Amino acid sequence: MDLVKAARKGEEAAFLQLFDEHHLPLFRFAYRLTGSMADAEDIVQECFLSLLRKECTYDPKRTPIRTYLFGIVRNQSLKRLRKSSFGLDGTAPLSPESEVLRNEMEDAVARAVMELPDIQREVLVLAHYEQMPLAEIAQVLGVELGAAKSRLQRARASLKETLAVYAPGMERKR
Amino acid sequence: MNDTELDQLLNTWDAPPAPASLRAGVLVGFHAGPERRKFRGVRILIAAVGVGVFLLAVTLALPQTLSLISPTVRAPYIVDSDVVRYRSDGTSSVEVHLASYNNNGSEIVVYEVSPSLLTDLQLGLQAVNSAWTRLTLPLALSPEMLEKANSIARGSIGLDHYRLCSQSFGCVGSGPALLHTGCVIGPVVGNETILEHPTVAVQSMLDDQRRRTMWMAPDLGCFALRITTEERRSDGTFRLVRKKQATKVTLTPGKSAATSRKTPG
Repeated sequence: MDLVKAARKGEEAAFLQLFDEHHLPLFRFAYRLTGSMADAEDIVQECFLSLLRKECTYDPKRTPIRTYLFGIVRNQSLKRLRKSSFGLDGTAPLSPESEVLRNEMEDAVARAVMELPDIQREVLVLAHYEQMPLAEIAQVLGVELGAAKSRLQRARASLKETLAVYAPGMERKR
Repeated sequence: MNDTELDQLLNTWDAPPAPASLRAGVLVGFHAGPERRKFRGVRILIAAVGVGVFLLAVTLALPQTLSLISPTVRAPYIVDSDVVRYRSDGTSSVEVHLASYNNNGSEIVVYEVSPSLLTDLQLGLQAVNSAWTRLTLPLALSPEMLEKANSIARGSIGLDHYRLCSQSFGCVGSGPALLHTGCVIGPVVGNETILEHPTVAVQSMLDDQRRRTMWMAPDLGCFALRITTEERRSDGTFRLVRKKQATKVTLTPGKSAATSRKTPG
């Protein structure tokens, strides 16, 4: 049964089934790309509503719905990031000690991921947090498999360097 | 650092759960979708006529009877407000225009209109319907009937989740407890006079990411003349994401706003 087709015909149950099956990973993805709950909410909402529009190019024969939806969320997130002034430039860097005191290792990781270039961050988030296979990531991003793979490697290498201070046994966390 | 250590570090960053308002927002969009929009004007027209006929009958034939059955309410004032959404890219838009007042601590929404979901024609029809509702509802109906009529009107445009007692702002301005504490239901962060009404600003965290500030007017039964919701940035500062701002307070002739106020304690 084609849920998208049914949703376009006005079947609310089909639309809600689509939403329930996919919205959580899409929201997490949008949040980790934009760093904003409000933006993530807007983006995911727009993503599902775009399926109902006539100009929607989704073709179930060519692309699985999950891949298509991730692609929409990715494009919308990057568009917002380009427009917004989101960034960490104006933030005074915290010392590792104070971060630990504030139980902010999570913040440090978030900062490190958010500071990655967009093309590396999106691969890392999909691969690590959403456990998406590289072949599907390449499809979402519209790039070759090799490109996705090398972006992921660069992202991980960069993070190892940035987060090195937390590495030895991760005792700081405890 | 090896790959396992990096994975462990990355796992410390949790994403927040998707807010419940997401589902509500998607549903509103679904019902305002292109396939159904072409019938929307007809449905709104039918709803407007239906509500109009109903109200005409009620206001012309039943007020005296109603007054014998149960005490009627008359809104002591109406507050016109805009709810504005602020996006991280610097843009903003009005989500809802609404008119409301407090009835024993509960906010009664007399009408609400969402500019983004309606065409000009539909907006006009809704405005006529809203104006009629605004003129007649508070004058002759019991609180129960008023709320029922409001829910019918809201249902016709499918905007219930935008009500202030919602995911957007949480339940505010409701509950007799509010009136008994002089509007102070959390840390007071300031005092300000808004539209000539003194307010007390109270702040609270909705969750670990969002905080809400309400400027409530004791002389309007703790009605919140301004409500802001802010979201925490990664650097710890807060960004404004939504604001309800009163634009006009209209006192009902012959009825003091203070009639809706209960003296604390």
